[in-house]
Amino acid sequence: MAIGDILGELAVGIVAEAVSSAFDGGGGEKKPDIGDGLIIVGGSYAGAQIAATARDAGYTGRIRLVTAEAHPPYHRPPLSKAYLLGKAERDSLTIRGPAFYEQEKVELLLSTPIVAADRTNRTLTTSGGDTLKWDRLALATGARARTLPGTPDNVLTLRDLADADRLRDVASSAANVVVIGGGYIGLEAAASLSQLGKRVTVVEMQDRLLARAATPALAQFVADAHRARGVELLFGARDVGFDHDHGVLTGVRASDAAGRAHTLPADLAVVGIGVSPNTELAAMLGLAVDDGIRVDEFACCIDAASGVAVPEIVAAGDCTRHPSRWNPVQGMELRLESVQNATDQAKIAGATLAEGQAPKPYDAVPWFWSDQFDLKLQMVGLTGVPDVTVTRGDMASNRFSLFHFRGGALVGVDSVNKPADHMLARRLLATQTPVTPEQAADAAFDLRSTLPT
Amino acid sequence: MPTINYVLKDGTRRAIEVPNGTSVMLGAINNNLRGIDAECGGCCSCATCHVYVEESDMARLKPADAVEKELLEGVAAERKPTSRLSCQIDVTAALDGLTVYMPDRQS
Ligand SMILES: Cc1cc2nc3c(=O)[nH]c(=O)nc-3n(C[C@H](O)[C@H](O)[C@H](O)COP(=O)(O)OP(=O)(O)OC[C@H]3O[C@@H](n4cnc5c(N)ncnc54)[C@H](O)[C@@H]3O)c2cc1C
Ligand code: FES
Repeated sequence: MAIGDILGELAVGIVAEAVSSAFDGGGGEKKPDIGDGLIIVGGSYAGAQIAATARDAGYTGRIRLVTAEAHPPYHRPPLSKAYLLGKAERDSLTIRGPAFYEQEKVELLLSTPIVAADRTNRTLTTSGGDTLKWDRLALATGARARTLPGTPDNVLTLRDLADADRLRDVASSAANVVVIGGGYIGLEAAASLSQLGKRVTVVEMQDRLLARAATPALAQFVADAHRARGVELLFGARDVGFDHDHGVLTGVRASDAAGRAHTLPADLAVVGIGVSPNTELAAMLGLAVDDGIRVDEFACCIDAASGVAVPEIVAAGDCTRHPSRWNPVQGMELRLESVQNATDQAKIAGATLAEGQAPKPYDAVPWFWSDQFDLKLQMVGLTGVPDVTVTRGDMASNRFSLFHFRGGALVGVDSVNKPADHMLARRLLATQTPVTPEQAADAAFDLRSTLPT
Repeated sequence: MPTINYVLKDGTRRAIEVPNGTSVMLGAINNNLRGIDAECGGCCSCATCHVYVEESDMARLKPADAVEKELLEGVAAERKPTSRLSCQIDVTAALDGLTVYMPDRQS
């Protein structure tokens, strides 16, 4: 707590100093347009939403959405769920149909990685060597899966459709799967592959699941649920290595928390050890980068040298780090990896591009979902380390919510198969409605009655 | 292909042919009909694909399951007896001519 406060003050102090002392023309005033409109780099949730909001907010210039992938923006969450299970097909994943791009005059440049960017001349360079000119630029470059070095064939990561197709292909003939990393994507892959009849083991370096992204109470429930459905879990894993036969995976080696060595037969391994934000272009543009592209509450990027906002360049989604009052560490900037964040921050970014500044700062309540087996998990708020947690509903029935409190205030709610609690919790948090742990724990108490009318 | 009638926020009516096996949500998304956000892409997690179904069409739909009913409690616009999540309405020949109305907001 105390350290958080100190860090928070430091961060605020640094920004304030930069604003007052160093104005070298790197940021601040908006440059006059010299031609060729808005370019959005990255075709996913944030990129598509920036285009839509910029048009809705009245931007009439040219818009180009440039993306490295061969597909127009599509929904990623099903890749580890319905798509992996074979219950959803590619056509059902579109975020916006062809009519959107035609009617809103958004030019799509597919299979076009941008490899260089220049702020003085306001250009981008494609991998094919073409130069693209821009007046306004949006970075929606997202994040990429972290990988392990030197892995044999059939050790896969899962971030995009090409990865998912490869995974589906290898999984079709695999019997033994090892998932490395017990985060949401690893656990979803484990659940789906287990449902497809594979023998699945999750190997986790920490001593619990979801160490980065969930409260211990929820993580324990998820661990029990996976074990009960046949997934094996190995915690405290060290020295993870791969056995192979002529370069093709045959097994995963790891020692457990007690130091015992295990060799797990495997014809497929899925590596889910987190993501790294794609910040290279921002760095080339002289923008502030700190494990994420730093943006202000209006989604403007920040000049690295002066610390001043750059009004003609915005960023949104998984690639950014932004100020947020929802952060349990007050004053620290936050990097989120979620559809909600990509979509809601992009709405701010699009409005800022069109209008100079969005009418409202970015302040949406963070929420996230994950589907594993028959469990629909929905999380809202950023809980940090709660000092009080109460359960609403019955854990044994797989239908309940955990209400987390810090300093007497509700800070987050994890729901399992209780979408109504989740939807209500979003409103409780957004309106900062006071709720007591006693009220939350009492299933007979109507929490809706606390909401302002 | 079944035709689904979408009534937009401004009252415009759009008759759209939507392929069997897709959803009323996808029909709107694929044709850039604004008013359905569908942030979760049909995972039944976001409640931003809310529509009001024409009352006389309600009987043609399979009733909402438990998850959909709970999510409907949290829709941003007014919840009415005809409220449904359009990602959960699978398009079949039996739904030809179905009419849905976009709510005033999704978030
Ligand atoms: C398997 C899986 C399951 C998930 N499940 C959930 C879930 O259940 N709920 C949830 O809320 N979130 C989930 N997520 C996270 C969610 O998908 C991300 O938060 C979201 O996609 C972020 O969107 P984005 O637009 O910021 O970036 P991204 O989706 O990362 O997209 C960035 C795009 O930019 C392109 N790009 C990057 N650099 C360049 C360049 N230099 N030139 C051209 N193009 C470039 C990339 O190719 C990519 O297409 C899941 C993610 C995965 C992978
Ligand atoms: S699209 Fe999210 S609930 Fe229907």
